[in-house]
Amino acid sequence: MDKKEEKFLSLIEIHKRIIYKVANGYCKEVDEREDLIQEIIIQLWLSLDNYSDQYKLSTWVYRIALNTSISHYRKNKTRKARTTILSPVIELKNDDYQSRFESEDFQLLNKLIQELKEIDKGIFLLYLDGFKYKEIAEIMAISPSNVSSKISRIKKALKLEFKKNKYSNYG
Amino acid sequence: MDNNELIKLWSTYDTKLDNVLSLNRDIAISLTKQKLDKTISGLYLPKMIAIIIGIPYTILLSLVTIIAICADAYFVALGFGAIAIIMVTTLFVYFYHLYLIRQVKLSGDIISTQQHLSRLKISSYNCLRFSIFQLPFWSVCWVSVDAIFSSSIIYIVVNLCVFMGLSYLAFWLYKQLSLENEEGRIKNFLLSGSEWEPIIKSTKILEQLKGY
Repeated sequence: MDKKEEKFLSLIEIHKRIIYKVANGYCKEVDEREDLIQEIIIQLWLSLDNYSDQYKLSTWVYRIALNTSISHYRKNKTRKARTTILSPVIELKNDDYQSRFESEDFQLLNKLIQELKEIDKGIFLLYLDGFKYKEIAEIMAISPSNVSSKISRIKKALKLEFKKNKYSNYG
Repeated sequence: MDNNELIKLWSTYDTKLDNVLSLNRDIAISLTKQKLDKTISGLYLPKMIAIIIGIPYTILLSLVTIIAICADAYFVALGFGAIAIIMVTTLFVYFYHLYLIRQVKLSGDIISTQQHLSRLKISSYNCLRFSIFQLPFWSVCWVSVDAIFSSSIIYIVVNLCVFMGLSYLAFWLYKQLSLENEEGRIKNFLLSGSEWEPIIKSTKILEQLKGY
């Protein structure tokens, strides 16, 4: 294994959570999610030589993961057969993960994230992962005030959905 | 659910995820060796091939047009000339596509990258629609001025009908393949879901980008 491959593997190892979370936000189906994870990893590999120190590595991974996910579409069967390796590249060690660890609130949050529009979803994922408005604005290339208004609108909608869900559970 | 609860919920997920995710290193490496699915290079190569084939083809069409003008074969000149103009326009658009592809950097900011990618897909599609207008001019290429004067009126009527019919067909196809025509049967017949999906998605993304 050469140096680039070593560096790449450690990059993926450190940032596998970001890749998984972004792919999970953009794809409901497991097959499609795995396909997207593969595509993100290929794009990270192809862009690795152009990585510039001006960005934090996690920000750089986020940019590639989001750009790949937003423009991702379901591949046709022929193309998929040519390019997809069957086993998942990033997988959950425990298949029961979802039922064992994910609370009802989290499942609802995940569902609501998946329903957001592509660009809004990217902004909200960055927000949930602790990026500041200014950082999100830089990654997306929009103004911080625009980020702030988008996030508050999304939060408002989420709040409403959570409320609705609580009522439907108890009512 | 307030803001703090939301962030806490997400960070709990994040921590748990860290414990249950595993990277399949062998597969990650074998993916890097896969050259088939370079999305961006995959966009570049077909355009380059089209330009490489398109340039001599357009030169040939232009030469035929010039020769036809010199030989006073005006209908041949009109037919091949119009097709050559459509081809030249298409080639210019393809050069613009190469420029867009060079602008696309997946590690760049999200809005401009998505704008470039979406514009590229939509422009490629519109270019395909525009090239349909070659169709009627192929019928003009074979009309002879001498034959018009020496043959009966039927020759003129038949050729005129063919030209009008193909013009109508081209215009109808152009309208059918319009992005606004969501339920077009012809569009669904000519473009399968996997070919159509990126174009539809690109229009939706461009629509979303207007809000930023």
